[in-house]
Amino acid sequence: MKKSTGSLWLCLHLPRLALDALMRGQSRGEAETCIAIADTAGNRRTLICVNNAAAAAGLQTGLTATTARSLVPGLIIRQRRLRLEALALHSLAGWCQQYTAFVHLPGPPPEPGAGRLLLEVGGSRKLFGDLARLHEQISRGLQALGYDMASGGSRTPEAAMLRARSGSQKPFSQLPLGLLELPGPALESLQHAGLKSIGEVLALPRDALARRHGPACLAYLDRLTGRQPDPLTPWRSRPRHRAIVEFPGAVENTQALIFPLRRLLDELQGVLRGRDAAIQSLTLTLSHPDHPATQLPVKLAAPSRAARHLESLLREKLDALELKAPVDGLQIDSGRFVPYSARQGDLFDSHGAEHEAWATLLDRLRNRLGHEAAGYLHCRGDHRPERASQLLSEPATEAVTTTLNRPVWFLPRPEALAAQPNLLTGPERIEAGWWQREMRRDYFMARDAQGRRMWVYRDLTQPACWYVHGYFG
Amino acid sequence: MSRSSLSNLLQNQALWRASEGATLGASASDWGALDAQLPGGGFPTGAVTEILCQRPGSGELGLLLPLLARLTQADNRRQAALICPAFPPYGPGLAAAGIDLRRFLIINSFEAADALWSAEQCLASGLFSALMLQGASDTAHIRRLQLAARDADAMVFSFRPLSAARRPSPAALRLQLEPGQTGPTLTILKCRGPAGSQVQLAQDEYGRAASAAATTYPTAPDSQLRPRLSVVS
Repeated sequence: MKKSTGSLWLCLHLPRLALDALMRGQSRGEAETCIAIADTAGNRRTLICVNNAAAAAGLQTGLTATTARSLVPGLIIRQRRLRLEALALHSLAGWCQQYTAFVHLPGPPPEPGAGRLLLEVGGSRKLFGDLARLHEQISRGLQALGYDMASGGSRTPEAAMLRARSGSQKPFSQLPLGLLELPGPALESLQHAGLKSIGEVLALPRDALARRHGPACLAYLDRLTGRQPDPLTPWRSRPRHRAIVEFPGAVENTQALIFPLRRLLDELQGVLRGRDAAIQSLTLTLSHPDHPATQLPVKLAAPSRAARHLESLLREKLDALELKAPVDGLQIDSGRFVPYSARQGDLFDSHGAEHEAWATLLDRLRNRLGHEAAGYLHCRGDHRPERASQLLSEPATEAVTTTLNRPVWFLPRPEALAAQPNLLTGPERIEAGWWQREMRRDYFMARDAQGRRMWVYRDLTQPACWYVHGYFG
Repeated sequence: MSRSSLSNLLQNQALWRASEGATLGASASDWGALDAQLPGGGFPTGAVTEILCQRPGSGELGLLLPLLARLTQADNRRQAALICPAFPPYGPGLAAAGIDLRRFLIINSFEAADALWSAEQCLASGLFSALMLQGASDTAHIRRLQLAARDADAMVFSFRPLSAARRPSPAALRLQLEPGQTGPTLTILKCRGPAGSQVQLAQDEYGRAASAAATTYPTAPDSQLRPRLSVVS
């Protein structure tokens, strides 16, 4: 719990959340198509968000879907997706934790299709300089993620939210009273009483306000002015990340996926920074209309949160992919967050950069060739030759020294020889008991007709059978 | 001389450029008889060396074991990589040869294009001192590897079949390896700078260098057209 007194609050107001949550995969320049988001209330389907192109074509929120279609024939109307809006707000809350430890998700603003976040920035001011600088950083960041944003700062949460919605720099008392988030009847009766500005409402006697408009009205005004504390619960981040975007039209080429993918990964990087975390796996899902989705999983050799590194790994996968159907949406799902260790990017640790280079290289190799494709040999203390060597993804922790006479190449399936070869050294008896697969062999070093040095054995359970099991050079 | 004829000339692989030879370093193979014949006294660093043999397992890796043992045990933290090997490499045998397996990366791929791509990624990372790969057959690919090896100052060993000897290659050193009953015979098909042409590596039965008996045939340096000499055995 955090008391509002003595703090500084910043409200991020997202007027087009319903649109941006779905369509932020588009760059602003390319959004030439008119897109609107509609919501159904009763039996009326009305527009709650329109994009710039639609607004330029004369559409505005509140129009019915039928009217809007008749005005702009090519208009794409998508149904509002509350679940995606909530998901987007949670991602943004995580992203905002880069700037402050205290993020709160208040209820939605009165405007349909809008969303908001509250940040306590009293402490962050020290870190980021003045409020204007912090505000500019956040604003630029959100824009890069594809969100429209207005913000407002004030000493109380309610006042910050009000200011963010007003979009005006006027003194507080001169703002129109319609901005107050009062219960509907209270707001109406105040307007009928002939009041216009917030200042006029605040000047009314308190007991008269409570009597005529209810105690909830007075409590709101007290929270607004800071007379009463406004305790808020901090938003708690989740240990995984998921983000989804949709495309207005189907995309047929993987190159066109890079831009939206980059936005999702930039957001993920921000979320991970806010949590001081990194991830070890990530799955990109391409959704297709009338087709099962395509999943592209990526595993990392070492935890990372660098958006560019993740992008290069996924690009590699996308380049190798042949789209079986057009793509109409992207989704990323991270594995569980792990603590970000300073070693991964610490400039002062001389091995840090090298460690990072190793992780990057192994990720690239495994991403393209498969996770099992790159690894290190381990020697195991098993006397059966088949089990003495193993390829694992991590190098051994200690160096191995051995003096056994063993080949450098090994044939997992021994090759039968027609006759006894020219033996050089041996035999070395290798046996396994009846409790394992029975094995009794005499191993020799030998040369074939060309002079290749081979590791051969005679199978004592089948006399007169000679096999090549490896080569020495 | 017009520009086009000059660029034609520069593309000619038979042209030996003094600037290349001047900056070329070498790292001893630790086979005394071979080092004595190679310019600079060893395998060229920052360049591609081709090892041509009839069948895999003929001793191409055995030839490199002393070098690899030295490189993986060096304290410069660089590693060695074996890319797309013809047979699975065997940990105990490599460890017995003195190779630090913790710095010996194995990369398996099924396609030649992936092997080349892997090699380029490894070289670009700057983390490797030596790379071995099977499957580089195209002249353009070898040239790319040659440039990447130079930039990374790494040694690249390309294992190729004997039939590749007839085709020219931009590799800095080309060795033909033939196993024999008393040890492999190496023929120097191409190198930068003056060198002997053929050497037999006398090995004991464990593949270690025995008293080296070298036979040398002096020839003109760096000639693609050098006739094959008969095998010494």
